Amino acid sequence: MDLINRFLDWFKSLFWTQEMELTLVGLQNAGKTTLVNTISYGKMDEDTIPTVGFNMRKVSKGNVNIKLWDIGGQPKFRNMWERYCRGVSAIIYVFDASDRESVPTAQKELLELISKPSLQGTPLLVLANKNDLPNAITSQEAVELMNLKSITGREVSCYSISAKNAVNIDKTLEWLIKYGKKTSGGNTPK
Amino acid sequence: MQTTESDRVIKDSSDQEEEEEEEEEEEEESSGEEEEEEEDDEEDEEEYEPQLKYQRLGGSLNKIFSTDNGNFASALAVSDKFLALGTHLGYMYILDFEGNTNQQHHYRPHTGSINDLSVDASGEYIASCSNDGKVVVYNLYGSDRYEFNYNRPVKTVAIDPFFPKVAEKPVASGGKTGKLLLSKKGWFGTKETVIHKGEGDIHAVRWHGPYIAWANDLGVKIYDVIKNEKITYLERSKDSPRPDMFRCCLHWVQNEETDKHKFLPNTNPNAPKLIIAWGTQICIMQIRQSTTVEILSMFDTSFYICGISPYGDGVLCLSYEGEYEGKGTAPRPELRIMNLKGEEQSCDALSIKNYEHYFATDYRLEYCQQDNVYYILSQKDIVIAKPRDVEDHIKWLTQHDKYMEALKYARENSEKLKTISVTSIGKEYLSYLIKMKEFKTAAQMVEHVSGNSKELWEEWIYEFISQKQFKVILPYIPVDQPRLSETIYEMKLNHFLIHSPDQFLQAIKEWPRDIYRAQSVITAVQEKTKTDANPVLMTALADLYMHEKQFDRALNIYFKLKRSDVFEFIQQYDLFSSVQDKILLVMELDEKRALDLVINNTDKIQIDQVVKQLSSRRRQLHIYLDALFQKNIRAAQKYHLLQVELYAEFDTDQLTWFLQQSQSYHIERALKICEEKAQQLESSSSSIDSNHELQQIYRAIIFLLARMGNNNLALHLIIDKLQDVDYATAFVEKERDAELWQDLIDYSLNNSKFISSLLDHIADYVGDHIDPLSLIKKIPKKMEIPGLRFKLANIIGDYSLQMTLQRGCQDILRADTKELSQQLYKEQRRGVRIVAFKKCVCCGQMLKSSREDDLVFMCSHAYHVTCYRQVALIGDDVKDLKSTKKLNCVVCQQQDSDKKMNKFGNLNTIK
Repeated sequence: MDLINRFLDWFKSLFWTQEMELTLVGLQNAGKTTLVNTISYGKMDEDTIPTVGFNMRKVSKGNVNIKLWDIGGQPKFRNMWERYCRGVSAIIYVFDASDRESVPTAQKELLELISKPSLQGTPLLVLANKNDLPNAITSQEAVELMNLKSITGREVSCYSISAKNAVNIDKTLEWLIKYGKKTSGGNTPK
Repeated sequence: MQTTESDRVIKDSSDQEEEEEEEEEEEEESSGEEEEEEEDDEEDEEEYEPQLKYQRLGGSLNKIFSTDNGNFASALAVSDKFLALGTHLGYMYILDFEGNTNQQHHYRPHTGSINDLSVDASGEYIASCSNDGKVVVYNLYGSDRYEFNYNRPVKTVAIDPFFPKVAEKPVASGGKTGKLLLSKKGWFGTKETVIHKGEGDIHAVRWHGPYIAWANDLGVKIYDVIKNEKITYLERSKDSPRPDMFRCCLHWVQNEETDKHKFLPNTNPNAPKLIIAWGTQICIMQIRQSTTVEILSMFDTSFYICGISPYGDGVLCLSYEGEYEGKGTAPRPELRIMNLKGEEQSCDALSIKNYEHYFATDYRLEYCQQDNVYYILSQKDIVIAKPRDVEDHIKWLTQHDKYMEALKYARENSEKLKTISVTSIGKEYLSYLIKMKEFKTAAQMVEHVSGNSKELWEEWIYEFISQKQFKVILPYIPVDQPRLSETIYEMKLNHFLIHSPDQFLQAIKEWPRDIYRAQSVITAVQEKTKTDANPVLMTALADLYMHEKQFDRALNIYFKLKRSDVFEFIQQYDLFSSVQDKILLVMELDEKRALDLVINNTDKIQIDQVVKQLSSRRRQLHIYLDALFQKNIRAAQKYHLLQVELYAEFDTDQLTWFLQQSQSYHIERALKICEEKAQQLESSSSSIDSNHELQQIYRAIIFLLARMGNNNLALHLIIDKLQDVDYATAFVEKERDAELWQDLIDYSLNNSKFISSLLDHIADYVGDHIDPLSLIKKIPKKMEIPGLRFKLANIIGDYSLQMTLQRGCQDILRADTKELSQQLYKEQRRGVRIVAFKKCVCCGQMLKSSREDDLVFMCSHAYHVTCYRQVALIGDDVKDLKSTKKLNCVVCQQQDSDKKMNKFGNLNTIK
């Protein structure tokens, strides 16, 4: 029985599995690592520490294998964002919806990132995290504040989520699976 | 060999604190370096730009290497998204490209030195091998882990590039066992295949696609995993150093279409290429059609190689010059770029911590093709080398004061510039030039640097001003594009004003008017012209006034300058009102044109004004009025009397003509004026001119007199003053006055010339007024008349002709009279029929009834004598009617008078 299952898995993986690579960026304390944990385990890890460098995670949703790169949001890591966003299926830009003061910076960093020629056409998902906190920015507001309408030449969407309470995570994943650029059968060898 | 100072000092991007620590170390190094460099500099005056730039990887590395427990780096692998670092203590770290460790993956797969690391193509699995005899494959995204224990130190490992996809999970490794092993996962645990053995230790193995390349003591071999056969064998040269003394470096390269940085771009792009470097030998080969191996290049170097990577058209070698046995000082590692012919393109000495103690095998060189970055690993350090890009080149050029080259290069590659702009280079250059006091060049540069930026222009201009070099930049200041602030243009103008009036004028003329405040410039010019009435400046000032619409002032200047184009100027700007009170000035400038101007623009320039202003300039006034009169007789009627004076004064020829034409002067006053003038002229010395004038005056007077009706006096004047017989006779003839003739004749008697002339003409006028005889008789005796005889003969001739005519006429008349008289007589002699019983016209009684005589007229009217007496009022005292001379028929008489009185009257009485 075990053998048959393994065989089926292997067989399925040959024909059905799709690979996705996502990069999460955003200012520090936006909740990227928490979101990654919520996506991969379905719950929140209370003791998230600021990410130094990057975290990597692989998640299977249905027949899609998603490789997640969670990049540190502190200023000293921001110049690496482009490097890690290069060639991915979609960019997830997370910002703290409860911290209105940080929004202009977040907006500036986002525009700077997506203006890079190497990231042209890569789908972008903007997530207004921490909507469980009072006075959080709604997704409509976020579209305005982040000036998302000005972004052209790529798929752009914005959701209001809570990584802590796992609100709207499923919608987020749906969008990513729908719009993310998939490569079936994994990366081509170099 | 060219080395550069700039690249030896490698910047540390890590935290500040640690940097300080290092600085101390570096200082020691650098003190040694400096000496070397000084020597270098002496050898070569010219520096060459390096091809690479260096940076020390920071992040968490200092923390990893800071412990004193010997946890030094021993292996490095580069993946698309991360670096894998292995240490001598068996730890493995996943680093990002800035050296930060990944917190999730910090583990210790081995207890001994990690000798080699290998990452699969998707970056999910890492294989490591160690002196502890184990090979471990670790999944970065999951918990699965494969471990193989070979009990002998494993020196090298290569994971299948498609490891996650391949169910067998193959890993190739080799080491002290002397076997190249391929471990695969089978249905029932791990299966190990020996690909090759028996030729000494396995020193290196690298896997690319289906090919595994490895090196043993004898040489390098390539094996095809799919075909299960060895493809090639490259023997190691006999004179090579001990195989374990220098690492055998293998590097597979295959260019992808998307790769920006291609290795040997001119060769077959699809063929995988292998770079081999071992000791002093380098070989580059490519595999064609999966079986044929072609050597692209093979050469020996003068140095030992401890790492190799592709570098564009050549290779990048981490070189180690000399042999180090653990005693003394180890050589400094260098990065050399070699082309395929084995020629060195560049060489940079590296600043590696503690390099004095490192063996060649302590270094590793890895390459990330995607980023085109080279990683140089030593025990406690990772140095990044990047090919210098456009910006680096520019920076180098500017650092070496080659600004012009930098600018040119930057312009050619402007689209590639990110942090540097052409402007910023220009700025630097400018600052440099200014520092070097090369103001002229600097001024020329300002344009290139500032372009269309107003702010930049101004900034530099002020810089020049602060250096007291304003005049140098002057010619370069743009008027338009960009438009600078008014102050700058004013300063420029001021400079011209002081130093170069011509340029000032040119600027005023050429510059747009709104770029400076005209009023302030005017003030400056006014100040200046007070002391220096330079005509050029005045012209400029006039222009300025014009711009400010102060036409009067502009005009004044034009007048002062006696500018001939003032008329066009007036016309163009319709300045007639301004010129109105400056008629004199205008006249002075150019009388003719001024006149044209005032005459053609009487609607704009008041005649009164002109006359008033010209009152002191009678000649101009005269010309003006004359022209005006000729143009329009009625234009200045009220000045006609004045004109009489003027004509008398300046143009006596025209005076009479004027008097004839004009109707608008007071004749008596005009006469008086003329008379005064005449007197004046007479009293003054006489010349031909004044004589002529006088004559003209007299003609005018004569005309005036004639107009007044004083013909007599006029004639006298003609005779007295003009002595012009023709004129006199014409005058007299025109007046048709017998008295005048008489006067003329009377006067002529005193003047032989007149007589002569009269005699000449007399025939023409004879008959009406003059009796030639009376004239001749009146001629005083002894008067000499030239040609008298002829003239007399003429007169007589004329006269006799006339007499003949008269006689003829008389004859005709007489004949006519005779004829008519006879006719009359004949009529009178006709008989009158008298009826027998004719009644008296008065009483109606029959004539015969009365005893008295009857009276019958030729008109057949009959009267009783008594009745006739009554009717004809003849008294009884007249007895004899026959004595009465006149006896007329009363009725007929009555009828005649009635006819005279009333044509329509009826005489009822007559039947």
